[in-house]
Amino acid sequence: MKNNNGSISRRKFLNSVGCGVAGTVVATTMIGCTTASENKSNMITMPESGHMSETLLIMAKDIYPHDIVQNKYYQKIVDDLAKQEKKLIGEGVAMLDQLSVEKLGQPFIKVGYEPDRIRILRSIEDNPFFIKVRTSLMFGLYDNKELFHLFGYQGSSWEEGGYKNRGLNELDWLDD
Amino acid sequence: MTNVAKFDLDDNDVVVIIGSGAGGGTVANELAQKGIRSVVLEAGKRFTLEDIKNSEWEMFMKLSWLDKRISAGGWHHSKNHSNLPAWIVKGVGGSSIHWAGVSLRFKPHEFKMKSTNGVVPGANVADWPISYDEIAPYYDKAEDKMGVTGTKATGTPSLPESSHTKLHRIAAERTGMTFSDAPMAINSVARDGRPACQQIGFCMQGCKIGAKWSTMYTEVPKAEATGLCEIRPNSMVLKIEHDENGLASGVHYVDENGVKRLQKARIVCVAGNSIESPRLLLNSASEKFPNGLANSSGQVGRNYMGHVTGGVYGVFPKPVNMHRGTSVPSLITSEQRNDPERGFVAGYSLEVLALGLGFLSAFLKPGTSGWGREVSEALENYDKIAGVWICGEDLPVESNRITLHPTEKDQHGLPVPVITKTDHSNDIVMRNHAYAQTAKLYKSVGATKIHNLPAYPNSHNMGTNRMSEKASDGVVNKWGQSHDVPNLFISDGSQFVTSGAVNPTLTIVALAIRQAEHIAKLVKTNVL
Repeated sequence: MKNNNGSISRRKFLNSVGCGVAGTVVATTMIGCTTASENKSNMITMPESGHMSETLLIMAKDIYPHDIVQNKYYQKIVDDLAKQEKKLIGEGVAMLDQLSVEKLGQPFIKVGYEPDRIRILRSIEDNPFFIKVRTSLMFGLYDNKELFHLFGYQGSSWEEGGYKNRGLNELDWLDD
Repeated sequence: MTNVAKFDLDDNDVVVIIGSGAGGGTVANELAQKGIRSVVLEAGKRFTLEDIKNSEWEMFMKLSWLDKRISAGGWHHSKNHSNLPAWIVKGVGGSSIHWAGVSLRFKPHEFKMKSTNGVVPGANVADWPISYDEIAPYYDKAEDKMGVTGTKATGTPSLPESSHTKLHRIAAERTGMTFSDAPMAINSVARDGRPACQQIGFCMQGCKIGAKWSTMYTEVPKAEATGLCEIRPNSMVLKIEHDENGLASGVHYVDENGVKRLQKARIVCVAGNSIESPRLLLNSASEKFPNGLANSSGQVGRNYMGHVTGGVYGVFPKPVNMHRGTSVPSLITSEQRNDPERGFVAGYSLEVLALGLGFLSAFLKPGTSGWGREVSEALENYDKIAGVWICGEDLPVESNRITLHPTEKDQHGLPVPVITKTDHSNDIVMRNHAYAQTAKLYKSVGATKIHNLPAYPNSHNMGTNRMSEKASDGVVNKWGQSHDVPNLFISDGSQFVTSGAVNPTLTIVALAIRQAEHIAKLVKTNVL
């Protein structure tokens, strides 16, 4: 599906990446996965890695925005993913930029107004590239012991003997 | 263990039990205690308490039945949980590893829904061929076996109050709803060789200390200890074979080494949960039984029920810390009654249910659109969230069913099951009523935001081999015994006629105890 100059047809890209490639078992079973239909056949070029990393960070923070989570956590999740899924992510970022240029006249990272970026991301939320990025973030942010405390979650408790004698019932803001 | 049983494949005097969960595991132990020999074929592996972690996704991946299944029909699973219609376990102990432990009895009228409401258009409602009074003594036995808190059978106290419970109790008081501690098959005091609950949470990831009843470490090892029960893990059953008289004579399975085997049988008990059990009967079609084994009624696979369900999560001004303590600590029971004045027949319970951060992130807004500020803001308030799970009676509908995919096969070459389900209009009205009642409940204690969640993949699966008085109306009789094949029994929730407004496990166990008693009688009198 790749042609000589390293670009691919977007239609072919979208049609060739099925759920099996896009997601883990969890992603496909729990989140659902549909393959987007796309009729345009414009050519896109693979992005260079610095640009890709920057784009994925902005995308990540648009998907699950949290001021309480430092950028480095988002960055690590998407960079690791880009390394594991070079083709899917590389082509996905290129597609995102192309879409952004078509709709707003500039690449995704230059779109300063959040609702504009969200509109573009909403339009590709069924796409395997987007689903892959989103599920990686879901696990990377919310199933990440290092970050649990930021959300007020305490994770594994059996090592501490559970909560039987450790704050099981300390709700004090409702009058009995 | 010293005297582990090992039975010959040609031993045609054994009861072969397919599945080791609440139904199969209980039947195996009950039979063993009565001196009857059995082989349990379990598709999953053996887990130990070492394997149990307090981690939602890790345990989901470790325990879940993830063989391919296809969701079809009008329910939201077709889109959002396309390959995970049900959330059940593959392992020795089955879904009793995953269940939360809520042990509620059906109400007397819930065995008589057709007499109670008459014909409901578009549904296949029937009365059970047994009454509450007939099953009541077995409920007592099940509660005793499982150590259910707050019951006469055990005399054990309820589990202590958590913040999550306190919020709901006060909200119920303020709104005039009926609150109750949940009767739980979780030890509130040490009992039956298992410790008291430490309020660890993560009940549905497997209880790390074995305080919650699961056949994994109760019925199964007790059965094995008699020397009369052989458990064969990693043994996926392919087909039930019958003889020229139409009696079940053996079970084909793939053993732990991938070798195909045939275990001869005197009696076969099917307890593979409400998707695998009918699938197996359909896959066991033969010249004599062209529509599937035990399917002269055409009801095998039909009337698939979950519960009318959904979740409601409220965000409150101050911390609740719902993750501290048992996953389901209490109930709101005001709407369990059958009162058509509300615009729907049958009833529902609201079960207080804690989700961890990982699951809440996936279920708060399932589907491909579940991202963005609304989701992330809710999750940022995780410690201030409280929630319930709606457990409403799901009506049996013939077209809600398990079928075999015409072309797609699993790793064993068996057709993949297709689970087709569409909400009945009664379900929709009931669910909306439950959302509205919960909103009232949460507003009374200051909720700043309320999230209504659609159904999770079904852990309650019922009805696909239902009981009936007459052979033309169902698959099994009031003992769970096939109308067509007298030495074939259904020992799981697929024999349910209706689903009740309560969790199915206690009823599955009560029926299993009762069925084992019946089988023992038939064996000892040489009827079977």
